[in-house]
Amino acid sequence: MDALTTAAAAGDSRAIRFTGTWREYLPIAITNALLIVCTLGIYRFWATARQRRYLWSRTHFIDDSLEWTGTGKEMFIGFIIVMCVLGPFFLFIQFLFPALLVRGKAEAAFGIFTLFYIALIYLGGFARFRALRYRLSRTFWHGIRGGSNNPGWNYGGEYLGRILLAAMTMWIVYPWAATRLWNSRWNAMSFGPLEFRAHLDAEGLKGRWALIYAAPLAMFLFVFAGIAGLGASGTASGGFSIWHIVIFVGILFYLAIPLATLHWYAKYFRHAAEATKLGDLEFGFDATTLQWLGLFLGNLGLAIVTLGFGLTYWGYRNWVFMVRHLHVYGTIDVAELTQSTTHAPREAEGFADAFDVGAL
Amino acid sequence: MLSTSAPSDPVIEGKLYDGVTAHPHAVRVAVAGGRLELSHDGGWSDSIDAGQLKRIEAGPSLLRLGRSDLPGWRLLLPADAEPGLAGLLGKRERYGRWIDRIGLIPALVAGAAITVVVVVVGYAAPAWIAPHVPMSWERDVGGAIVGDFGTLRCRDAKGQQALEALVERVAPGATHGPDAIKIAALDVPAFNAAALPGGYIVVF
Repeated sequence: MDALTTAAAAGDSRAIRFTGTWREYLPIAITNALLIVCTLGIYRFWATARQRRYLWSRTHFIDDSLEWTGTGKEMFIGFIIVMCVLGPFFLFIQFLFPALLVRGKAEAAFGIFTLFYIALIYLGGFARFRALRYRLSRTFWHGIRGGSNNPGWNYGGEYLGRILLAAMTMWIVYPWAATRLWNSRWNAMSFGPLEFRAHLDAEGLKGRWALIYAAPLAMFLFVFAGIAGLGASGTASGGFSIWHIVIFVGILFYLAIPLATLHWYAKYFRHAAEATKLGDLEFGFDATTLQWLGLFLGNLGLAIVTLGFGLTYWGYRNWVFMVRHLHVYGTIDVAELTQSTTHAPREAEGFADAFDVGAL
Repeated sequence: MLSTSAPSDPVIEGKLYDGVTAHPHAVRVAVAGGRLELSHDGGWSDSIDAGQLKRIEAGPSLLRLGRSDLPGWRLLLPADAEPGLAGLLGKRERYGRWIDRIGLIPALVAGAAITVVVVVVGYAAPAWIAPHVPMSWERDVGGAIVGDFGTLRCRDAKGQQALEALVERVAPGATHGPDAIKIAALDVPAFNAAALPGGYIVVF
């Protein structure tokens, strides 16, 4: 029996590791950028396929690299199909809404507008599910691929319900919604005959979620205390100091909430990886909030310093970040890892593209 | 006439995944008569037509081949085996079939030329097309938009006459003839006016 044992350790002995370099990727980044510009953006589907072929082929798992078999053509066709479905729908709403409004039927107009947004949330969840299913179906290892037989229609409904519930509670129950959705998504996926099993719960995530609410609250208390202090000393009467406070509030508002959210997501991903299994394989993810922040600031800085060209490296940097922080433990019996019998979807990531929920 | 056979092609050691299980098989690979000949210690052998083989992206030390007729079938060979198989595999696919066929630079030049034409035409087209749009089409579009206002439109005859008189004061004769301006008042709590296609003017 060919049982391969994997163990997460430092250096090259890690079960999953990235073997590419930014220099090796540079010709792909440059030619992708040039071709996208010279084809009015149409080449971006083929550019994505080239990028993934490179990234997957430089991702070594145990004793062989991953392999991306998706093509630019199928992604382009998928996008066209989805646009043909959604285009008339969007156009119809665009004309229907103002026509109802000018006829004085504001209730009907806003009712339809609400239904339209509900449909968008449903399709957003559906798109997320289908994108994951598509990516697994085009990812090969040892000649075996992943996939799912679940079409994702029910997941779209569950996504809609949980997101609406979270919204109704001012997002207080969002950690529960996010963890249940993670489980539903991954429990529907498989690789070869092995099914993913996810049992993520909100335990350990609630404190950090509360911080998202506490951060702006603490900030306002701090600012009010500052104003009170300034008022007492009389220096705020000139107006200059008040403007300082306004700018300070603005900066903090745009920093405090995003940072607290990032802090939550860092822990969420660590918990999610630990709560997910594939056969006897277990996963781990060790990226801290500071490392996530480094990734985002690095991406931003790279784009600014290179006058936009660095955008072509975001996908590379994001993938490398995920692989470098991902750990896989356990054993996998390659003799029992047989070919997936799941349906290989043809529509690629059209819906994910349309709703911009693609991760890479 | 005497002839000698060509030196036999070297045998390459490789690893095969059959696409059925993830179990790797050690195979020996040779090229013969435009086909890839595979053999295994257990006595198994296979012969694959060059047309079924395709290169798959792999790291610098590896040549990874797939088959167009068997998803998941993978043959892994050392990268230095590639020159010996070049005749079987054809050109490497890099940018996409069309671009590989004409070359990157010609594709960039052609793409840039088409992009420039599309942008220029897109920018200039309204000015070219607008004079050729029949007035009746414009009237239909304008009429449809005014119709959208439904009961908000004021239909009092005296009010309409007053509005038309106002237009006549500004532009004498503008409310008569085939291209006449059609003015409508809308009962909307806002002070504004808009010109619509087909010579329609709405006053709020």
